[in-house]
Amino acid sequence: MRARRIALNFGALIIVAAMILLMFLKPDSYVEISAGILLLSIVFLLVRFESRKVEARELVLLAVLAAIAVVGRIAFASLPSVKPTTFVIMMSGLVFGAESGFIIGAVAALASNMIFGQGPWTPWQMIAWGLVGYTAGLLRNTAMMRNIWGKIVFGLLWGFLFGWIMNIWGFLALVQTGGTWSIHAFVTYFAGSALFDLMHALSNVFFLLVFGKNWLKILTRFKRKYGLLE
Amino acid sequence: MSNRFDRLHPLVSFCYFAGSITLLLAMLHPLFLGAAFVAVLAVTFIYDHGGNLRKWTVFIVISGLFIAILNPVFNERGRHVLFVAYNHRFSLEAILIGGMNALSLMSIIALFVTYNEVMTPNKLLFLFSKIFPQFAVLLMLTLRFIPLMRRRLEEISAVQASKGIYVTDGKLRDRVKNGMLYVQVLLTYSLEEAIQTADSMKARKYGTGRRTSYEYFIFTKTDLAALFYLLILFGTVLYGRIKGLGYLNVYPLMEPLSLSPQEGVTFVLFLLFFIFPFVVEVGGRIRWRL
Repeated sequence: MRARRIALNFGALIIVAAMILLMFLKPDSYVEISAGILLLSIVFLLVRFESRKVEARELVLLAVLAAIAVVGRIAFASLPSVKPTTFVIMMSGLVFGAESGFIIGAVAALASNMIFGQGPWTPWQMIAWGLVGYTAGLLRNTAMMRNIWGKIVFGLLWGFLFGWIMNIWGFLALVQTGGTWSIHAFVTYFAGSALFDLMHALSNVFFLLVFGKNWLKILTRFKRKYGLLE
Repeated sequence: MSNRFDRLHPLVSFCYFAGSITLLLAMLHPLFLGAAFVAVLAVTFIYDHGGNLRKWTVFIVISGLFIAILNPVFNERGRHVLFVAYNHRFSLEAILIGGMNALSLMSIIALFVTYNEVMTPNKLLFLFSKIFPQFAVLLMLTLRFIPLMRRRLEEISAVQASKGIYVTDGKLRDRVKNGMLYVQVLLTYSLEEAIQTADSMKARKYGTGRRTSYEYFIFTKTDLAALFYLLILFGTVLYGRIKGLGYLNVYPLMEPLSLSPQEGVTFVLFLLFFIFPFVVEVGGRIRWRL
């Protein structure tokens, strides 16, 4: 099992190296190559998830957190543009680690799109929310994430980053031609969503301030009580 | 029209959609993209039962216009200046690129209307379960929990409302806070229940060995033929694209729009790929008559 995981990581490294080499050989098609890296990274994390035998309790726990991230939107149906999804995924990543965080984010995005309708945004949403959980898990033992201010900066940043990742799929179509794209076009394009991103960032901060401590406590207690995903 | 396309094996339908999106992104030629857009719209028109296309029309048109306008506004390059406004040169090249991008984006979005009709969640789950079985179980569990938690959330909100905790009115700060309080109650409630679910899975020997399951989708000869049709067309067109067919060089010098004989063949194959659903339906009719 362990050997397989090492082989998997090694394989991924080789592929990434090959992609970067390809990028140097064909600098014109960097958009296609970046999209390729993006898709492959989703596949890689899924394969990694498959390579480990997940206990039933852990599996159900992941599903519950992902479902709460989705259903949280419904509790806020009367308040447009305030969505707790990012907050829930962030908390899960902080408590259960990077890999679980990614899986929860990706499953939440995929499941919610299966219910509300798929679109070209599905993979981007999977990546964006997956990365929210992944980065939260990676940074969970750093001084930054132990500090409430660090967490607030993290939530604020992801409010905007999420919007930017989601914008990219539209912008890629523009860049794809290899036609000139100036920094002006970029700024204009991204300014279009700035208000929504700001709302997203602010609601993340609000949730972190008011509920962050509580949620961490609930999830950590639960994790210790049943010894899950240690 | 009877819906044979809908009854194909999920792998075949998935290949059609994945291939279409790849080709739409790869090709850059007004004739190719225009033809693809018409084909996609025609396909959507047939399979769209719930009037979804109408709901999406606004989104499709707006994002198309946005992309079409954005490029000429920020891009002055090009030899054929059409007009000058506010000291800005609007070149034919820039407008052409913007238009091609818009066509490709609009086709992709329109394609998803059909995708949502044809690739129902159970088909996607079926495909996932073949490649990523563990992830598919997780996805299935999540999909099952969503309606359950919706109901739980209703219960919670009824109880909380009786205590005077509302989401629907009051100050914004309190509403957001109360909303999250609901979700927090849902979390503690569901976490404990989850252990029960897991233990019941375990009691029924989840994950102890290989399980057989009922296969709803069977890969028939028709599916095999359809898969061959798609793969061969896709492969040839992509090969042509690598050789530079179906790609209009705009800079530094714009190529003529007309197609070379080789490009013409690629164009036909490209179109044959996109009208695959029609081929399936018509083929079915002919076989029925014979």
